[in-house]
Amino acid sequence: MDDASFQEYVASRGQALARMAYLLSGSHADADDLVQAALAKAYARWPHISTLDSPDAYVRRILANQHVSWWRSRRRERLTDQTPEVAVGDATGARADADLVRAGVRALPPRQRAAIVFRYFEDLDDAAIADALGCSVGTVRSQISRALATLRAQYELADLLTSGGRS
Amino acid sequence: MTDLDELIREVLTTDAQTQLQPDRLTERSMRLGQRLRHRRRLGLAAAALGSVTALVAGSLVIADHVGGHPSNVATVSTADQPQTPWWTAWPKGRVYSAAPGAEFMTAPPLDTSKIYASGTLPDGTDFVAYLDPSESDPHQPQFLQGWNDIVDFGEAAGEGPQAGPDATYLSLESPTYQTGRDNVGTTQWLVVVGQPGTTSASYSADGSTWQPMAVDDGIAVLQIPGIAPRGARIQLSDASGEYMNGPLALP
Repeated sequence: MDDASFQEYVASRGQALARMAYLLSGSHADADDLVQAALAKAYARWPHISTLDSPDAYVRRILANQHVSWWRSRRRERLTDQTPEVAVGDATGARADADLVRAGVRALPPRQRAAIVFRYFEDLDDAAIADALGCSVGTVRSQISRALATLRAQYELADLLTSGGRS
Repeated sequence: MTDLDELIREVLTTDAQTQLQPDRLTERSMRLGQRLRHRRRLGLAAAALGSVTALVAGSLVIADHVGGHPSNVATVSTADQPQTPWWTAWPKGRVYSAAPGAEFMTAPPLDTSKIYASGTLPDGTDFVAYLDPSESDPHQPQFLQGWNDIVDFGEAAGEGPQAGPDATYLSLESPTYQTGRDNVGTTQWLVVVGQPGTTSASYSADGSTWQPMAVDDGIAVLQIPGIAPRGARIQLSDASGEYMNGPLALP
């Protein structure tokens, strides 16, 4: 009975969770591992999770925690392997803007990135994000505020460089 | 530039489309999850076996309290909310033990984590304060709390100056937020695990006005509104007097 409801859950939510994992991790391979690890943990506690009003909220929390944990354990490698590239010289047009924002989001600290993903991709409100990240609503707001400030500053710098400071 | 909010939403939506669901996700997750369940059962069996020891230890603690030592930390109360924390079998108070990884099913790999204290906050929420070697170097104090078998992760505290699983330390400070099943409050519980023998602790938000913290077995707790400000300080004393008076090492 548990297995059937878990299978049903993965069938309906697996793709969405995989996408969320990708946005959190920024890597297709990591996203595969992340979503699988999160769902394995969810399965281990499925008899409990399946009774909740929102199993998604619980699984989302597992995913977020796993992401933060992995990021911390791998951050040294990431610092050397995946330094975000900001194509300042090509920062013209909508596509360049998108690239800039994409690089900026990937370079955010994990909790800020998660907050941004939950807000803009999952359309969660602050309370739901706080639940997923295991922190207060106030912390969520400050995380999102800092993230947006960082992204805005990066864009403004790039814009300044590419426009020769005309603005 | 396009509106930043709109651009972020567009980029995330576009990027997300590039991720496919991994092959055999259900099957693999169930297989891995089955192993975790097995490990958990083993852990619970070990915990049940250890509960005899815990019972004896608990009796000693009760006897100690009956003997006149003050205790401001409430015991588990089932009067207001039914609680079934999954670490119920753990002894309360100072633990100083390596945590069996199976006990942290929803947490990062913690096989070598050290549990420093577990107990019950005055509002009835059970907690575990531990150091997780996977989190950082030096280790960061972490905080877990449970409510109706749902684990809430508190904030990771700052890197304590002397925090380390095997190190002598002055204090481990870890904040969390009072949470319930369906909501997140804005009140923070500050938990300070003082060195053994700590008899009193105080907290100051501004460095001048001090509030006494409830202390039990050297573990101090205090409910504070919002987030502790940068200038917050902690004062700890034992039988020989004050041994720490410094800034709260939180992020």
